[in-house]
Amino acid sequence: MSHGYVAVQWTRRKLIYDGLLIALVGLYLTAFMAISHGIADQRQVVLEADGVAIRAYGSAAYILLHITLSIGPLARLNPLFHTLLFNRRHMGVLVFLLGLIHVTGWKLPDQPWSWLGLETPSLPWSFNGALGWYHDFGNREPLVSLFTSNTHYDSFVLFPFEVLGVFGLAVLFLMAATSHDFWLVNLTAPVWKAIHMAVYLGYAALVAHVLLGALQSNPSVWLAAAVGAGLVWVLALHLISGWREWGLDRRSLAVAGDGWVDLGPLDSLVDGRARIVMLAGERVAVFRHGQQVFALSNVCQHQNGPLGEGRIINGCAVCPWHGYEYDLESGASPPPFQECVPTFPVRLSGGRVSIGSQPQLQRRP
Amino acid sequence: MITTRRQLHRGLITALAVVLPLTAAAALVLRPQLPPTPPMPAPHPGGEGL
Repeated sequence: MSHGYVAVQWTRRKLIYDGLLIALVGLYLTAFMAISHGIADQRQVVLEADGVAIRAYGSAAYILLHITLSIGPLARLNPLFHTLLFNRRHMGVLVFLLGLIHVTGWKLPDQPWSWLGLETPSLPWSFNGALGWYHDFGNREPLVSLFTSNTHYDSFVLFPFEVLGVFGLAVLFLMAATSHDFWLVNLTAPVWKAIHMAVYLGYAALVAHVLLGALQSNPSVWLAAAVGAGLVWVLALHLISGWREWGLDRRSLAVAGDGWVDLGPLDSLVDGRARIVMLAGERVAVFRHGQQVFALSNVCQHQNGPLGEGRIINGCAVCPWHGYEYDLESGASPPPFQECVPTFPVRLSGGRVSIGSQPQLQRRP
Repeated sequence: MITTRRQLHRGLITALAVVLPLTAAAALVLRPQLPPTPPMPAPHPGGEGL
Protein backbone atom coordinates (compact mmCIF):
# COMPACT_ATOMS: atom_id res chain seq x y z
CA MET A 1 0.00 0.00 0.00
CA SER A 2 1.14 3.57 -0.49
CA HIS A 3 3.46 4.04 2.44
CA GLY A 4 6.61 5.47 0.92
CA TYR A 5 8.08 4.24 -2.33
CA VAL A 6 10.35 1.27 -2.71
CA ALA A 7 11.55 0.39 -6.22
CA VAL A 8 9.94 -3.05 -6.14
CA GLN A 9 8.49 -4.55 -2.98
CA TRP A 10 9.63 -8.14 -3.38
CA THR A 11 7.81 -10.73 -1.39
CA ARG A 12 8.23 -14.50 -1.33
CA ARG A 13 5.07 -14.89 -3.43
CA LYS A 14 6.33 -12.43 -6.04
CA LEU A 15 9.70 -14.16 -6.22
CA ILE A 16 8.04 -17.56 -6.73
CA TYR A 17 5.68 -16.09 -9.32
CA ASP A 18 8.49 -14.38 -11.27
CA GLY A 19 10.83 -17.36 -10.92
CA LEU A 20 8.20 -19.73 -12.34
CA LEU A 21 7.37 -17.28 -15.12
CA ILE A 22 11.00 -16.88 -16.22
CA ALA A 23 11.62 -20.63 -15.97
CA LEU A 24 8.58 -21.41 -18.15
CA VAL A 25 9.60 -18.80 -20.74
CA GLY A 26 13.15 -20.20 -20.75
CA LEU A 27 11.77 -23.72 -21.21
CA TYR A 28 9.58 -22.56 -24.11
CA LEU A 29 12.48 -20.79 -25.87
CA THR A 30 14.77 -23.81 -25.45
CA ALA A 31 12.09 -26.25 -26.66
CA PHE A 32 11.18 -24.03 -29.66
CA MET A 33 14.78 -23.80 -30.85
CA ALA A 34 15.60 -27.47 -30.16
CA ILE A 35 12.49 -28.72 -31.99
CA SER A 36 13.05 -26.36 -34.96
CA HIS A 37 16.65 -27.48 -35.38
CA GLY A 38 15.68 -31.13 -34.83
CA ILE A 39 13.08 -31.00 -37.63
CA ALA A 40 15.57 -29.22 -39.94
CA ASP A 41 18.22 -31.88 -39.28
CA GLN A 42 15.69 -34.63 -39.97
CA ARG A 43 14.76 -33.02 -43.30
CA GLN A 44 18.41 -32.23 -44.03
CA VAL A 45 17.79 -28.52 -44.60
CA VAL A 46 19.85 -25.57 -43.45
CA LEU A 47 18.21 -23.48 -40.73
CA GLU A 48 19.70 -20.15 -39.72
CA ALA A 49 20.04 -19.98 -35.95
CA ASP A 50 19.29 -16.23 -35.82
CA GLY A 51 16.03 -16.66 -37.73
CA VAL A 52 14.92 -19.43 -35.36
CA ALA A 53 15.79 -17.33 -32.28
CA ILE A 54 13.87 -14.33 -33.71
CA ARG A 55 10.78 -16.51 -34.17
CA ALA A 56 11.21 -18.12 -30.73
CA TYR A 57 11.29 -14.76 -28.90
CA GLY A 58 8.55 -13.24 -31.07
CA SER A 59 6.20 -16.18 -30.51
CA ALA A 60 7.01 -16.25 -26.76
CA ALA A 61 6.06 -12.55 -26.47
CA TYR A 62 2.89 -13.12 -28.52
CA ILE A 63 1.73 -16.13 -26.46
CA LEU A 64 2.55 -14.41 -23.14
CA LEU A 65 0.60 -11.32 -24.26
CA HIS A 66 -2.45 -13.54 -24.81
CA ILE A 67 -2.02 -15.08 -21.36
CA THR A 68 -1.60 -11.64 -19.74
CA LEU A 69 -4.73 -10.29 -21.43
CA SER A 70 -6.72 -13.39 -20.40
CA ILE A 71 -6.09 -13.05 -16.66
CA GLY A 72 -8.38 -10.02 -16.16
CA PRO A 73 -11.56 -11.52 -17.65
CA LEU A 74 -10.76 -14.97 -16.19
CA ALA A 75 -10.55 -13.41 -12.70
CA ARG A 76 -13.93 -11.76 -13.35
CA LEU A 77 -15.44 -15.12 -14.27
CA ASN A 78 -13.73 -17.18 -11.55
CA PRO A 79 -12.10 -15.86 -8.34
CA LEU A 80 -9.51 -18.68 -8.53
CA PHE A 81 -7.64 -16.60 -11.12
CA HIS A 82 -7.06 -13.76 -8.61
CA THR A 83 -3.89 -15.71 -7.76
CA LEU A 84 -2.46 -14.79 -11.16
CA LEU A 85 -3.79 -11.24 -11.11
CA PHE A 86 -1.77 -9.76 -8.25
CA ASN A 87 1.53 -9.85 -10.15
CA ARG A 88 0.19 -9.47 -13.69
CA ARG A 89 2.27 -6.33 -14.28
CA HIS A 90 5.51 -8.31 -14.12
CA MET A 91 4.10 -10.56 -16.83
CA GLY A 92 3.37 -7.51 -18.99
CA VAL A 93 6.90 -6.18 -18.52
CA LEU A 94 8.26 -9.58 -19.58
CA VAL A 95 6.12 -9.44 -22.75
CA PHE A 96 7.78 -6.12 -23.62
CA LEU A 97 11.29 -7.46 -22.92
CA LEU A 98 10.72 -10.56 -25.08
CA GLY A 99 9.35 -8.34 -27.88
CA LEU A 100 12.35 -6.05 -27.56
CA ILE A 101 14.79 -8.99 -27.83
CA HIS A 102 12.82 -10.22 -30.87
CA VAL A 103 13.65 -6.86 -32.51
CA THR A 104 17.13 -6.03 -31.21
CA GLY A 105 18.50 -9.52 -30.65
CA TRP A 106 20.47 -10.75 -27.64
CA LYS A 107 23.85 -9.06 -27.86
CA LEU A 108 25.64 -6.04 -26.47
CA PRO A 109 25.72 -2.81 -28.51
CA ASP A 110 28.99 -1.84 -30.20
CA GLN A 111 29.36 1.19 -27.94
CA PRO A 112 31.11 2.08 -25.69
CA TRP A 113 33.49 -0.79 -26.52
CA SER A 114 34.28 0.62 -29.95
CA TRP A 115 35.11 4.05 -28.50
CA LEU A 116 37.43 2.36 -26.01
CA GLY A 117 39.15 0.46 -28.81
CA LEU A 118 37.92 -2.85 -27.42
CA GLU A 119 36.12 -5.73 -29.07
CA THR A 120 32.44 -5.98 -28.12
CA PRO A 121 32.06 -8.77 -25.53
CA SER A 122 29.92 -11.65 -26.66
CA LEU A 123 26.90 -12.76 -24.60
CA PRO A 124 26.01 -16.43 -24.21
CA TRP A 125 23.25 -17.52 -26.66
CA SER A 126 23.72 -14.26 -28.60
CA PHE A 127 21.86 -13.70 -31.86
CA ASN A 128 20.85 -10.87 -34.19
CA GLY A 129 17.30 -9.58 -33.79
CA ALA A 130 14.84 -8.88 -36.61
CA LEU A 131 16.23 -5.36 -37.06
CA GLY A 132 19.81 -6.50 -37.59
CA TRP A 133 18.90 -9.72 -39.40
CA TYR A 134 16.57 -8.22 -42.01
CA HIS A 135 17.72 -4.59 -42.23
CA ASP A 136 21.49 -4.47 -41.67
CA PHE A 137 22.78 -5.77 -44.98
CA GLY A 138 21.96 -2.78 -47.22
CA ASN A 139 23.39 0.69 -47.57
CA ARG A 140 20.84 2.25 -45.21
CA GLU A 141 20.85 2.46 -41.45
CA PRO A 142 18.77 -0.47 -40.07
CA LEU A 143 16.16 1.83 -38.50
CA VAL A 144 15.85 3.88 -41.72
CA SER A 145 15.54 0.65 -43.70
CA LEU A 146 12.84 -0.61 -41.31
CA PHE A 147 10.59 2.34 -42.13
CA THR A 148 11.48 2.83 -45.81
CA SER A 149 12.11 -0.61 -47.32
CA ASN A 150 8.41 -1.39 -47.63
CA THR A 151 6.11 1.48 -48.61
CA HIS A 152 3.05 -0.52 -49.74
CA TYR A 153 0.73 1.43 -47.49
CA ASP A 154 -1.96 1.21 -50.18
CA SER A 155 -1.96 -2.60 -50.17
CA PHE A 156 -3.58 -4.92 -47.65
CA VAL A 157 -1.46 -8.08 -47.81
CA LEU A 158 1.74 -6.16 -48.63
CA PHE A 159 1.15 -3.56 -45.89
CA PRO A 160 4.40 -2.87 -43.96
CA PHE A 161 3.75 -5.22 -41.06
CA GLU A 162 7.03 -4.08 -39.45
CA VAL A 163 5.48 -0.67 -38.68
CA LEU A 164 2.57 -2.40 -36.94
CA GLY A 165 5.08 -4.32 -34.83
CA VAL A 166 6.91 -1.09 -33.92
CA PHE A 167 3.61 0.50 -32.86
CA GLY A 168 2.71 -2.56 -30.75
CA LEU A 169 6.14 -2.54 -29.11
CA ALA A 170 5.85 1.21 -28.39
CA VAL A 171 2.52 0.62 -26.62
CA LEU A 172 4.05 -2.24 -24.61
CA PHE A 173 6.93 0.08 -23.67
CA LEU A 174 4.46 2.71 -22.44
CA MET A 175 2.70 0.07 -20.34
CA ALA A 176 5.97 -1.30 -18.92
CA ALA A 177 7.46 2.15 -18.21
CA THR A 178 4.38 3.30 -16.28
CA SER A 179 3.66 -0.01 -14.59
CA HIS A 180 5.09 0.92 -11.18
CA ASP A 181 2.84 2.15 -8.37
CA PHE A 182 4.76 5.45 -8.47
CA TRP A 183 2.94 6.27 -11.73
CA LEU A 184 -0.32 4.78 -10.50
CA VAL A 185 -0.37 7.09 -7.46
CA ASN A 186 0.86 10.21 -9.25
CA LEU A 187 -1.33 9.85 -12.32
CA THR A 188 -4.30 8.66 -10.16
CA ALA A 189 -5.95 5.30 -10.75
CA PRO A 190 -8.58 6.51 -13.30
CA VAL A 191 -5.96 8.20 -15.55
CA TRP A 192 -3.53 5.28 -15.17
CA LYS A 193 -6.23 2.75 -16.05
CA ALA A 194 -7.31 4.83 -19.05
CA ILE A 195 -3.70 4.95 -20.32
CA HIS A 196 -3.29 1.21 -19.80
CA MET A 197 -6.41 0.53 -21.85
CA ALA A 198 -4.17 1.32 -24.83
CA VAL A 199 -2.88 -2.23 -24.46
CA TYR A 200 -5.84 -3.30 -26.61
CA LEU A 201 -4.66 -1.03 -29.44
CA GLY A 202 -1.18 -2.54 -29.04
CA TYR A 203 -2.70 -6.02 -29.12
CA ALA A 204 -4.62 -5.22 -32.31
CA ALA A 205 -1.42 -3.91 -33.95
CA LEU A 206 0.52 -7.03 -32.95
CA VAL A 207 -2.21 -9.37 -34.24
CA ALA A 208 -2.09 -7.48 -37.56
CA HIS A 209 1.75 -7.66 -37.45
CA VAL A 210 1.53 -11.47 -37.30
CA LEU A 211 -1.34 -11.76 -39.81
CA LEU A 212 0.43 -9.62 -42.43
CA GLY A 213 3.94 -10.81 -41.57
CA ALA A 214 4.54 -14.39 -40.45
CA LEU A 215 1.24 -15.69 -41.83
CA GLN A 216 1.93 -14.32 -45.33
CA SER A 217 5.31 -16.02 -45.63
CA ASN A 218 4.53 -19.24 -43.74
CA PRO A 219 1.77 -21.32 -45.35
CA SER A 220 1.40 -23.65 -42.33
CA VAL A 221 -2.22 -24.41 -41.52
CA TRP A 222 -1.22 -25.04 -37.90
CA LEU A 223 0.24 -21.55 -37.53
CA ALA A 224 -2.93 -19.99 -38.96
CA ALA A 225 -5.07 -22.15 -36.65
CA ALA A 226 -2.99 -21.19 -33.57
CA VAL A 227 -3.19 -17.45 -34.36
CA GLY A 228 -6.95 -17.75 -34.97
CA ALA A 229 -7.52 -19.73 -31.77
CA GLY A 230 -5.58 -17.15 -29.70
CA LEU A 231 -7.62 -14.30 -31.18
CA VAL A 232 -10.96 -16.05 -30.59
CA TRP A 233 -9.91 -16.96 -27.01
CA VAL A 234 -8.98 -13.40 -25.99
CA LEU A 235 -11.98 -11.77 -27.66
CA ALA A 236 -14.50 -14.35 -26.40
CA LEU A 237 -13.24 -14.08 -22.80
CA HIS A 238 -13.53 -10.29 -22.86
CA LEU A 239 -16.96 -10.35 -24.50
CA ILE A 240 -18.35 -12.92 -22.01
CA SER A 241 -17.01 -11.14 -18.92
CA GLY A 242 -18.04 -7.75 -20.34
CA TRP A 243 -21.55 -9.03 -21.01
CA ARG A 244 -21.86 -10.18 -17.38
CA GLU A 245 -20.62 -6.82 -16.10
CA TRP A 246 -23.06 -5.03 -18.38
CA GLY A 247 -25.90 -7.07 -16.87
CA LEU A 248 -24.85 -5.92 -13.38
CA ASP A 249 -24.63 -2.26 -14.42
CA ARG A 250 -28.12 -2.33 -15.87
CA ARG A 251 -29.70 -3.50 -12.59
CA SER A 252 -29.54 -0.10 -10.89
CA LEU A 253 -31.52 0.00 -7.65
CA ALA A 254 -34.43 2.38 -7.27
CA VAL A 255 -33.96 5.00 -4.54
CA ALA A 256 -37.08 5.69 -2.47
CA GLY A 257 -38.24 9.23 -1.69
CA ASP A 258 -36.50 9.18 1.70
CA GLY A 259 -33.13 8.42 0.07
CA TRP A 260 -32.94 4.77 1.25
CA VAL A 261 -32.77 1.62 -0.84
CA ASP A 262 -34.19 -1.70 0.38
CA LEU A 263 -31.80 -4.65 -0.17
CA GLY A 264 -34.04 -7.38 1.26
CA PRO A 265 -33.65 -9.61 4.33
CA LEU A 266 -30.35 -9.86 6.20
CA ASP A 267 -30.29 -13.63 5.58
CA SER A 268 -30.01 -13.01 1.86
CA LEU A 269 -26.46 -11.70 2.44
CA VAL A 270 -23.67 -14.29 2.87
CA ASP A 271 -21.69 -13.79 6.08
CA GLY A 272 -18.12 -12.60 5.44
CA ARG A 273 -18.86 -11.69 1.83
CA ALA A 274 -20.35 -8.80 -0.10
CA ARG A 275 -23.16 -8.33 -2.55
CA ILE A 276 -22.35 -5.79 -5.24
CA VAL A 277 -25.25 -3.50 -6.10
CA MET A 278 -25.61 -0.62 -8.53
CA LEU A 279 -26.63 2.66 -6.95
CA ALA A 280 -26.92 5.96 -8.83
CA GLY A 281 -24.55 4.77 -11.56
CA GLU A 282 -21.80 3.46 -9.27
CA ARG A 283 -21.19 0.08 -7.70
CA VAL A 284 -21.50 -0.41 -3.94
CA ALA A 285 -20.17 -3.43 -2.01
CA VAL A 286 -22.55 -4.43 0.81
CA PHE A 287 -20.64 -6.61 3.28
CA ARG A 288 -22.22 -8.77 5.98
CA HIS A 289 -20.02 -9.28 9.04
CA GLY A 290 -21.94 -11.45 11.52
CA GLN A 291 -25.13 -9.59 12.33
CA GLN A 292 -23.75 -6.28 11.07
CA VAL A 293 -23.88 -4.87 7.56
CA PHE A 294 -21.54 -2.30 6.01
CA ALA A 295 -21.67 -0.60 2.62
CA LEU A 296 -18.54 0.71 0.87
CA SER A 297 -17.72 1.90 -2.61
CA ASN A 298 -16.82 -1.14 -4.70
CA VAL A 299 -13.86 0.71 -6.22
CA CYS A 300 -10.48 0.07 -4.56
CA GLN A 301 -8.34 3.20 -4.49
CA HIS A 302 -5.24 1.37 -5.68
CA GLN A 303 -6.13 0.06 -9.15
CA ASN A 304 -9.92 0.41 -8.98
CA GLY A 305 -10.24 -3.31 -8.29
CA PRO A 306 -13.61 -4.84 -7.27
CA LEU A 307 -13.56 -4.52 -3.47
CA GLY A 308 -16.84 -6.44 -3.17
CA GLU A 309 -15.22 -9.57 -4.60
CA GLY A 310 -12.80 -9.64 -1.66
CA ARG A 311 -13.09 -11.04 1.86
CA ILE A 312 -13.26 -9.61 5.37
CA ILE A 313 -10.05 -9.98 7.36
CA ASN A 314 -9.59 -8.39 10.83
CA GLY A 315 -12.65 -6.20 10.35
CA CYS A 316 -11.40 -4.87 7.02
CA ALA A 317 -12.62 -5.42 3.48
CA VAL A 318 -9.62 -6.73 1.51
CA CYS A 319 -9.35 -6.06 -2.22
CA PRO A 320 -8.88 -9.37 -4.09
CA TRP A 321 -6.42 -7.85 -6.57
CA HIS A 322 -3.53 -6.63 -4.41
CA GLY A 323 -4.72 -6.95 -0.81
CA TYR A 324 -5.49 -3.28 -0.05
CA GLU A 325 -7.50 -3.06 3.18
CA TYR A 326 -10.36 -0.76 4.22
CA ASP A 327 -12.04 -0.56 7.62
CA LEU A 328 -15.64 -1.68 7.15
CA GLU A 329 -17.06 1.14 9.27
CA SER A 330 -14.99 4.14 8.20
CA GLY A 331 -13.74 3.05 4.76
CA ALA A 332 -10.21 4.12 5.80
CA SER A 333 -7.12 1.96 5.44
CA PRO A 334 -5.46 1.04 8.74
CA PRO A 335 -2.59 3.42 9.72
CA PRO A 336 -0.05 4.27 8.42
CA PHE A 337 -1.78 3.86 5.08
CA GLN A 338 -3.72 6.77 3.64
CA GLU A 339 -6.28 5.27 1.26
CA CYS A 340 -9.95 5.80 1.95
CA VAL A 341 -13.12 4.74 0.12
CA PRO A 342 -16.58 6.30 0.53
CA THR A 343 -19.05 4.47 2.77
CA PHE A 344 -22.83 4.43 2.69
CA PRO A 345 -25.17 4.55 5.72
CA VAL A 346 -26.82 1.21 6.55
CA ARG A 347 -30.14 0.65 8.34
CA LEU A 348 -31.25 -2.69 9.80
CA SER A 349 -34.94 -2.75 10.56
CA GLY A 350 -37.24 -5.72 11.09
CA GLY A 351 -34.58 -8.09 9.72
CA ARG A 352 -34.34 -6.10 6.48
CA VAL A 353 -31.33 -4.17 5.20
CA SER A 354 -31.46 -0.73 3.64
CA ILE A 355 -28.63 1.53 2.50
CA GLY A 356 -28.62 5.29 2.10
CA SER A 357 -27.91 6.67 -1.34
CA GLN A 358 -25.59 9.46 -0.18
CA PRO A 359 -21.92 8.42 0.06
CA GLN A 360 -19.80 9.63 2.98
CA LEU A 361 -16.04 10.09 2.75
CA GLN A 362 -13.94 10.21 5.88
CA ARG A 363 -11.10 12.69 5.42
CA ARG A 364 -7.72 12.02 6.95
CA PRO A 365 -6.40 14.84 9.15
CA MET B 1 -15.88 8.11 -14.19
CA ILE B 2 -15.60 4.36 -13.52
CA THR B 3 -18.81 3.70 -15.45
CA THR B 4 -17.59 5.83 -18.37
CA ARG B 5 -14.30 3.94 -18.48
CA ARG B 6 -16.15 0.63 -18.34
CA GLN B 7 -18.31 1.72 -21.27
CA LEU B 8 -15.21 2.80 -23.21
CA HIS B 9 -13.62 -0.58 -22.46
CA ARG B 10 -16.71 -2.42 -23.71
CA GLY B 11 -16.85 -0.27 -26.84
CA LEU B 12 -13.17 -0.90 -27.57
CA ILE B 13 -13.50 -4.68 -27.14
CA THR B 14 -16.63 -4.77 -29.29
CA ALA B 15 -14.86 -2.81 -32.05
CA LEU B 16 -11.88 -5.21 -31.91
CA ALA B 17 -14.23 -8.21 -31.95
CA VAL B 18 -15.56 -6.95 -35.28
CA VAL B 19 -12.36 -5.64 -36.89
CA LEU B 20 -9.80 -8.29 -35.92
CA PRO B 21 -11.66 -11.43 -37.13
CA LEU B 22 -12.42 -9.67 -40.42
CA THR B 23 -8.75 -8.69 -40.78
CA ALA B 24 -7.68 -12.26 -39.98
CA ALA B 25 -10.11 -13.73 -42.52
CA ALA B 26 -9.00 -11.27 -45.23
CA ALA B 27 -5.31 -11.90 -44.49
CA LEU B 28 -5.81 -15.65 -44.87
CA VAL B 29 -7.97 -15.48 -47.97
CA LEU B 30 -5.84 -12.94 -49.79
CA ARG B 31 -2.39 -14.30 -48.93
CA PRO B 32 -0.36 -15.06 -52.02
CA GLN B 33 -0.14 -18.71 -53.05
CA LEU B 34 3.61 -19.12 -53.22
CA PRO B 35 4.94 -22.08 -55.18
CA PRO B 36 6.62 -24.65 -52.94
CA THR B 37 10.36 -24.13 -52.82
CA PRO B 38 12.69 -27.12 -52.80
CA PRO B 39 14.58 -27.45 -49.51
CA MET B 40 18.15 -26.22 -49.53
CA PRO B 41 20.47 -29.16 -48.97
CA ALA B 42 22.74 -29.05 -45.96
CA PRO B 43 26.40 -28.34 -46.74
CA HIS B 44 28.51 -31.43 -47.07
CA PRO B 45 30.49 -32.05 -43.89
CA GLY B 46 33.66 -32.43 -45.92
CA GLY B 47 33.52 -28.85 -47.17
CA GLU B 48 32.42 -27.02 -50.30
CA GLY B 49 33.06 -27.67 -53.97
CA LEU B 50 32.82 -31.42 -54.03
